[in-house]
Amino acid sequence: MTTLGAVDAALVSDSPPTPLLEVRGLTTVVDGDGWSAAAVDDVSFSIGRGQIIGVVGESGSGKSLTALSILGLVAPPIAVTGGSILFEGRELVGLREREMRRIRGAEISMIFQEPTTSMDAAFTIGDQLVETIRAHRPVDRRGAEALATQMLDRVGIASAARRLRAYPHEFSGGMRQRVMIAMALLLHPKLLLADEPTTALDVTTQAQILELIGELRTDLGLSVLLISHDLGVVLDIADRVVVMYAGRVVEETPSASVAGSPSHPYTQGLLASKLSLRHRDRPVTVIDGQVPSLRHRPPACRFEPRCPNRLPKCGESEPELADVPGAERLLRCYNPSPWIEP
Amino acid sequence: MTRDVTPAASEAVLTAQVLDATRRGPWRILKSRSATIGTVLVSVFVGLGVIGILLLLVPGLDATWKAQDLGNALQGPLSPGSPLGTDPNGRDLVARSVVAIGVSCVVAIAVTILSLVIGVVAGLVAGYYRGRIDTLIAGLIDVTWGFPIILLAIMFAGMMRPGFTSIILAVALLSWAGIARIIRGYALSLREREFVAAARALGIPGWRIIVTHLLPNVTAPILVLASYYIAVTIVIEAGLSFLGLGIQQPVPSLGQMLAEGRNFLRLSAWQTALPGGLLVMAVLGFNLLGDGLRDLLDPRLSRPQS
Amino acid sequence: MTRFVIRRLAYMAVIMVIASIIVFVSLRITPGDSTNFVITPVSSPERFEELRRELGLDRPLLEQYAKFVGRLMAGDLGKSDISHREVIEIVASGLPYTVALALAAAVLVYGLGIPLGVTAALRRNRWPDQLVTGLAVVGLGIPNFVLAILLIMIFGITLMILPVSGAAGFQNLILPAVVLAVEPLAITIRVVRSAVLDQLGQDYVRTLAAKGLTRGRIIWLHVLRNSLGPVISLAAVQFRSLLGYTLIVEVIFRWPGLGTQLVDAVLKRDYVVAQVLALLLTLVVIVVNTFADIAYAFADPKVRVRVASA
Repeated sequence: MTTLGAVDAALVSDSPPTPLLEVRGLTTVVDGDGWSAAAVDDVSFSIGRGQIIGVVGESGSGKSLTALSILGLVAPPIAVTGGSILFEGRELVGLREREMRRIRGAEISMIFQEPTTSMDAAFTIGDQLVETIRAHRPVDRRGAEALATQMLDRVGIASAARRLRAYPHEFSGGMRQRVMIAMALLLHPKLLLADEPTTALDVTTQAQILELIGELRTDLGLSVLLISHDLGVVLDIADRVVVMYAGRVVEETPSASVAGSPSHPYTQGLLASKLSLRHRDRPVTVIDGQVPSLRHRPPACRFEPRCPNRLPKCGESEPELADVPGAERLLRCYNPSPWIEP
Repeated sequence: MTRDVTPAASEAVLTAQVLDATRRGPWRILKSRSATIGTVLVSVFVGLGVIGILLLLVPGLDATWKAQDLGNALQGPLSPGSPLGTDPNGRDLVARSVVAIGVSCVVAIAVTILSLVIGVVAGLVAGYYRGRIDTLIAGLIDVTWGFPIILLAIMFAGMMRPGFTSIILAVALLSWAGIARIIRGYALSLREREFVAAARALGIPGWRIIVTHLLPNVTAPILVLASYYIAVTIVIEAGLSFLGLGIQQPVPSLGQMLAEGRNFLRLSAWQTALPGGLLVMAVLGFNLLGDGLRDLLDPRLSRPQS
Repeated sequence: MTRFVIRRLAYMAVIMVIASIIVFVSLRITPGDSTNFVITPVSSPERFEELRRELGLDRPLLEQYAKFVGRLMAGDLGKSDISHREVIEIVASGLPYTVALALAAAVLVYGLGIPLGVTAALRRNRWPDQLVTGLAVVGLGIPNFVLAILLIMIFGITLMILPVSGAAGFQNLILPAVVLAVEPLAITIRVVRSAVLDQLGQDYVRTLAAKGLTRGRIIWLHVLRNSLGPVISLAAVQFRSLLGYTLIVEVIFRWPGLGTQLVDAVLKRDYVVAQVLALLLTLVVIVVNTFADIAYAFADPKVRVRVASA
């Protein structure tokens, strides 16, 4: 297992990586009573092997739905209406359900925000772990339990073998999230989608979970799509950051750049707000206004009503997501200004 | 056959909306289609019932439904001289049906009033005073509530002669519990309201508070419950009479007619179709009326289960 | 919680005693020729006194009552005046039929109710749901004896494919079981549907899908297991009403169970049988009710809290 990870790590550093996952123009539409809106609107990004991509945005930005769309976990009235999702060169959009099922849990896994309610309280974690394995591989129960114990051990659960008999409610929040991670990685998927994995946890546990994810990336060659509304969490372990707002990608850049010089006014606002929390004597910096609801989006640039840099043309037409020359960055803005550390 | 009412109802707190609805007057009931149908059916049945009771009680009129004419038995509807046909003994079915409706209605209404009186008093007293008397009454309610009425009615029919008395006793003795349960719930929440605290502070005695403050506030559920329980009682009485343990001959009852007709099923389906249909309509009418009243006054209540 | 249980058990004992007293008293004052509990007409006043002493009827009522209870518990339930059969034999002959009927109905209620409820929840608001829910509404609206007659007419007389009385063979069980099952089935469908819908909205379902489990396994193993709570509480409650229904259905179809025995006894004025049987059934109901209440309180956490604070 570890040797494989080392080999993949070598691949990462040598050649331009063939993206593990390539999302192009993904559009996911929500159908309401007489209206419909794209909660994920023409979103593109890619994830390489062993990379951690962070997706940041407030609630309502469409980031969770992006992840759900990748795994085909959307049901009417929500549906993926356009774009392509290439996983190892294979098109996932429109894939038959039976094929999709084989990928879920085995090639691409997902963990969610609330470890408490995300597991079936009526079954032991051993049952649920074994179930995952046996859904994809012809392993007998004992073999599956051995694999499960090994993975639980790996994620830091003490007395793993005994704990197989325990029920979800017998674990603390942080431990439960570790169990979820174990369950997601049992079959050594290549990609892990983590939807707000630390949001429901306290700060110390947050750090532990993030550290765990980082380790697993190195050891297993795992790629991670880390979704969070908390810029700090993302900057902690992500290689690149994708900033989403109201269904659109507004900035994409390596995380070092975000921390050092964010360009998009929205990203700047997020960072300023995060940093201001450090100073207890000053009021917290916030971004005025609220994320627009699905039905009432500004016609041009969606951030315009709240933007400190807005120009008249921002209200007339929406900027395109474009390469910023000289920097490894994509930006959707007519009027970015340089970042000034507050 | 008392039905269970959802626990949510007994914990309900009366809202301003409920009080407001009662103020807006009885015409609002027409807004609900089921309530309108229910009201119409109930009015028809009660009307017919009154006529039926007259036929039953006024001496001299009993020939209409008693007169037998064996040569003319088992006629179908629209026969000459008998618009609804005749029964196995040649008795005119129009008259018999009307009297039967009257009997069913009277029994159902009488029993329901009796159960309501006992149930409301018990519920209000238990809910308002709490303490030992509440423990006692609540305990009684718990034990009585689930008991199958049919069984008790049969027992009573076994111990005394079957008839009006045994039915009324058996049903009232058990139905009050379901009603008391709900009313107690209302009382429990009402007593926390300000106007009750104010009245108590003024030194007004408990029984007076119950009568002047609590009682008017439970008229809504009482009306709804009345409709439902009348429906349930009609079914119970019909069931008992069907078994032969209810209203005895020659006084007709829908259940009884059903039983008679049952023996002649091969010859004529009409003999059972008529009382069966009337029965279903009567029950439906009261249930719909109850639904309509409930939607209008307090949607948290639900139909009792038999 | 324990206080609640003890209280309910205490009430149960009290009610059982009251019921037995009522029956005891009514047996003493019943008219009729019962040689079991009341004295028969005799030739002379001296013989009368003799018999009184022999039968222990001159002892205080309390002692007689104690003897009565003693005899009941020893299994001596008396003898029928009319047929001279031992009551206990009557019970033994009727019990298996009643149990068979109840079991058949239960199989229908849960064997059909759970799958139909799940289907209605899965195809919510589409035609299967509307059909099933509509049937449930109808099922609740018709009194069961009316339904019984309707079915007798259709299946027994017009179509002639099912027998409508007696217990000659397995087919005889079908119509009575169906009639008995209709109302509990309608309610079960609604409860299952609502419980499943509840579960489908829970987070863990999404996780199970993300693990790559098949829809079948998610629904029929996980969701169903979590939906059964309310169904079990409901079953406890439905148990109570079952007895009343069974009596009527047995009589309509002349199914030789305890219900028919009881009603026959009442109609024939066979007081001993009628009242002892009624007492037995009453005791069974009381016991079942009490345990159903206790089970319900355990199962439903909301009730448990309310009860504990009462």
